[in-house]
Amino acid sequence: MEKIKDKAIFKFITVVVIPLLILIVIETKMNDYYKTVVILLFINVILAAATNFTNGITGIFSLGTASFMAIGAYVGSLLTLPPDMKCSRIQGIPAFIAEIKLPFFAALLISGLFAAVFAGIIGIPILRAKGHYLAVITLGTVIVVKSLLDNLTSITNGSRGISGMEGYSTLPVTVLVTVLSLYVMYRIKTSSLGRGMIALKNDEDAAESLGISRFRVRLFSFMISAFFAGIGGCLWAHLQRSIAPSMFYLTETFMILEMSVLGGMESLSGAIPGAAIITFFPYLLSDFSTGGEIFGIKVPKINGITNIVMSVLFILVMIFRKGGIFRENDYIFDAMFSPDTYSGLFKKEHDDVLKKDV
Amino acid sequence: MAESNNSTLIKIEDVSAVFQGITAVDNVRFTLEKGKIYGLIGTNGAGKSTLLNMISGNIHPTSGRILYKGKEINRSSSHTLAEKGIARTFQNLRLFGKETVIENVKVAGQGKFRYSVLQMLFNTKTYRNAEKKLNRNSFDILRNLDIEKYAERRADSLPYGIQRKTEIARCLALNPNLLLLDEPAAGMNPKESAQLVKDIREVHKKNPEMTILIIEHDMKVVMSLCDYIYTMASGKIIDEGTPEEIQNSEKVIELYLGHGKYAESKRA
Ligand SMILES: Nc1ncnc2c1ncn2[C@@H]1O[C@H](COP(=O)(O)OP(=O)(O)O)[C@@H](O)[C@H]1O
Ligand SMILES: [Mg+2]
Repeated sequence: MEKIKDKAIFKFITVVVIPLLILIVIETKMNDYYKTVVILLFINVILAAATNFTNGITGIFSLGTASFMAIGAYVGSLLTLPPDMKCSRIQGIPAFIAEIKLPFFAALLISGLFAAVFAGIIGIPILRAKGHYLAVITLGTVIVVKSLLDNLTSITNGSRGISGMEGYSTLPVTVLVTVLSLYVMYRIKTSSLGRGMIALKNDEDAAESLGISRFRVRLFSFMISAFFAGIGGCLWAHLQRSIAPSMFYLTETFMILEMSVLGGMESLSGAIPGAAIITFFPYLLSDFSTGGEIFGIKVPKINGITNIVMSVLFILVMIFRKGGIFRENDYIFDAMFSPDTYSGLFKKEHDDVLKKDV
Repeated sequence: MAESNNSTLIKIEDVSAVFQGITAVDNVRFTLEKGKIYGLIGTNGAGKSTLLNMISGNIHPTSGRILYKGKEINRSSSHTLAEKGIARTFQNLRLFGKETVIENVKVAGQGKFRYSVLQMLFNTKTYRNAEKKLNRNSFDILRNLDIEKYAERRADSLPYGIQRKTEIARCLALNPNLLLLDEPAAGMNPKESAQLVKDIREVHKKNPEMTILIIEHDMKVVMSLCDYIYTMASGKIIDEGTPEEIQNSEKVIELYLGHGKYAESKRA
């Protein structure tokens, strides 16, 4: 007897139908303030999943996601801003950059590609490093990218940043892009490439002795991760509609890391609980950090309450559930993206090679 | 030494390996012929694993030449050699412990069933067929070794003997011309090692073209399996020959201080 939770129809309803209904309600009934928070959640899910892709699945511990996000945000913004706006806001912008104006989806794709190419270029030397060296070097990338953005003023407008982007990152657009991104990452994870990535994480020498190219697979993983971090950055820029180098620095780096680790970095689905906690908590706690009334009770202003609560939570998860909330289980995406779920809706028996052949 | 010809799979010419001044392998030369089972014995620290690591490309020789099918492979990486048909196990178990047994085997076999990223993302027929064939192929390998019932179990949850077998299954998925086994019976009880001998024989019967090189301390295993045995001491090959010749070799007897006692005395 099949358990209810293994039935295709149950999976389909819990991971596809219900979330979709909730999103429709949010899109039609909620005000912009709440919508923005939900859009931010989706963007954070992409960023956390992209980080898990390298850190948890391939075993490349990278702290560089914020730098790839920055590249995506800047490239995307420069591609969608109208030429006259770029000329008036960015002193001395080269004509060939000012003249470009692309539709949002083209800009989105190119921003991801830029981030991926950048990751490829820095990845070739740095992926030879192991373990914590890699973490240090990728943290260095975040610092270098920020100082480049601060100093390449004729393109980036320096520390004042760029603003005036259209709000293309609406809820439907962001949800669509997020689902597509997660689909791609999940499918790669479960394909031969992903098996190679997981093997390398487990044991590099053993994986290599079975024909997995450490260099090629790690570089690929790093570039894919950067691609989606770039996409996340571009979405982010078209949600906030104003970006500056300081937004893609250490605070963002550690926020991304917290999302990844809390949710469970070995699971792509872990990005969802991780991002949800990190996205919603500051809003839930904002009344405490400013002081005010909650449920009619007057609370005093507690400075830094968000950071305190987040840190305590982080420590608790690290002590009581070391692998993060989802550990290495891909609960959500296993159901959401598996062909079994969909074929199971129509067929009674599905073709399971392993069991059928015995 | 015979000139390398079509029946020669591996030819090692004056190979040395030096680690920070320690010569682990010292001017070794030997030949492995296609389809034979070889033993490599010798005391701990003799350089056996180092020699095997050089053949599989995990480390590179300091000097000398290693020829595989007549081509030099001194600088080849282990993943290219794996693709070319050199498979190995490690002295200490190196399974992907958190993964299932079948996943462990699929990682090794997937090179034979390729598809592009786009084919995978769009779930095309090529992709689905390749994955299906990979599954079947991996499962068949497990069945041939009689461990198919563990296919969906996490590798690190299984008894030691099964884990060792999984490691061999993983190698077989590469469809190798050369199978290098580094102390496969270490840590096994007599029943398990007798089973191992049977399994290796079975594997060789199914793939008579395959050359097997076994590093092993358990003399029963070595003597009953091997066609030819090389003996190493202090980085050098001190003797070689058929099992009878080795059993009666004075050099080897001297090295081991009596027949068969070696394994017990050294491991204690
Ligand atoms: N990576 C290494 N670095 C330094 N010394 C090593 C290394 N690998 C092996 N050795 C040394 O080389 C010698 C041979 O080791 P090994 O090949 O493992 O012997 P065996 O497998 O015959 O027991 C030993 O003295 C060992 O300490
Ligand atoms: Mg050894």
